[in-house]
Amino acid sequence: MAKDSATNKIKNVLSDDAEETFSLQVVAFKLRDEEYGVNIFQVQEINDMSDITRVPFAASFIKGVINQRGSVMPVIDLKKRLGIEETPYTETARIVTVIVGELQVGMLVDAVTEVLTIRSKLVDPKKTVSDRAMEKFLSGIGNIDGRLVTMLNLEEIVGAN
Amino acid sequence: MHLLRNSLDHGIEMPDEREAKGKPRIGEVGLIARHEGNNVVIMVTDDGKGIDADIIRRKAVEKGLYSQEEVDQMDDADAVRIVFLPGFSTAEKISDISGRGVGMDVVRSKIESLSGQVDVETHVNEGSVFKIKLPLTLAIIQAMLVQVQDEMYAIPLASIDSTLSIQLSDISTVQNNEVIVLRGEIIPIIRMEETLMVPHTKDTSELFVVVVHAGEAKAGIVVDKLIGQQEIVIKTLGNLFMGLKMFSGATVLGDGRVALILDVATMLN
Repeated sequence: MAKDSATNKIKNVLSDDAEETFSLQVVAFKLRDEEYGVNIFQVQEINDMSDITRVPFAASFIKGVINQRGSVMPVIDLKKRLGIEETPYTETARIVTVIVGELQVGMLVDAVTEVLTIRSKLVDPKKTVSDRAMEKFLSGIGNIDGRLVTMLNLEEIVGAN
Repeated sequence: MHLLRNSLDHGIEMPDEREAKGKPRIGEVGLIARHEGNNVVIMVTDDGKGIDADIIRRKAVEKGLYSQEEVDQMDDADAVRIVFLPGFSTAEKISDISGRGVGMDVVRSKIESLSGQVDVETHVNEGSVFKIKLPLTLAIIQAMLVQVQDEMYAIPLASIDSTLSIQLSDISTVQNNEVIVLRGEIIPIIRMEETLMVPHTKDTSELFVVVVHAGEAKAGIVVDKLIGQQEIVIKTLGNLFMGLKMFSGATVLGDGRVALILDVATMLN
């Protein structure tokens, strides 16, 4: 019986009348032409790109460290991490500071677009992403009237696991 | 700071009172700081009247912080630690500087927010010792800032023997290893630009050598420029850089930029 009701719940989430209850606020940003997003609750702040100090011998996707309000914070080159072709960062580039568990990490992105609300259920990335290595970095794809926002799995991206 | 005031205001007795107890008229408040393992220990000591656990028990009950039964069960050391609770003050009269009941709890929460600990040891009529333990991540060291191409690094002064200016022609090779001769001593050199793969942006003919040592090993680190000596606060690089031994941490410079602190022992190996 208990299992049946759980199944029904899942069906409800998928059905139209349950869509109003699904609401996810995300900070959306661009990597080249694609739009990506992270849960707004994981974002601490967004800053202009500042002087990044290179750290020799660090993992290649780590751009370096910056001074974030007096503490030293690592910055991840997100395009490099996700295997997206690298293009130079311009003046629209931002550092999105996220909190992942105990870690405070900056993510370098090409531009921050806006805060969006995703109201429909996320699509499983396994269905659309063919690259196995990439798949673990993604938690789902949000569809806002045809505008696709790929949600990131920050735990995997910063390698906290 | 607050602990020092407290020692003066609560700890040290009036001169006449001290004389009656057979102590010198002038009280002594000490401030001791030292390394202890991975911590920095700061102690504030005084030879005053100490903290009487019975008075603390009585005050704690009066202020409703604990019941009589609870304080009766505490040993003296635990009772004395009540002074770290919010709203507790034993001073009979409030002076300009202490006795307001906000104090020791603020001291404690501040220290704990820095992941430190504070404790107190006291003997009636002999004095008290407040011991603060702070993790070394807050430590301040003297360092030499150096520039290599467009990057800046800090080298702890404790590992530096000397610095000198050389020309490229001063570098000779012994069995394919680059060395310099300093006062008759042959010292192998390490070119920081190559070791740390610093992007090359400009050529320099005049170089500086920072002669460093780690244990018995000695070497000259070649840099482009000596920026100067200054006190820096060591900050950890964090979990993302675990396994990175070349740097013992980083520091935030006056202009807001971050400079990495070189671990000399790793560099020499």
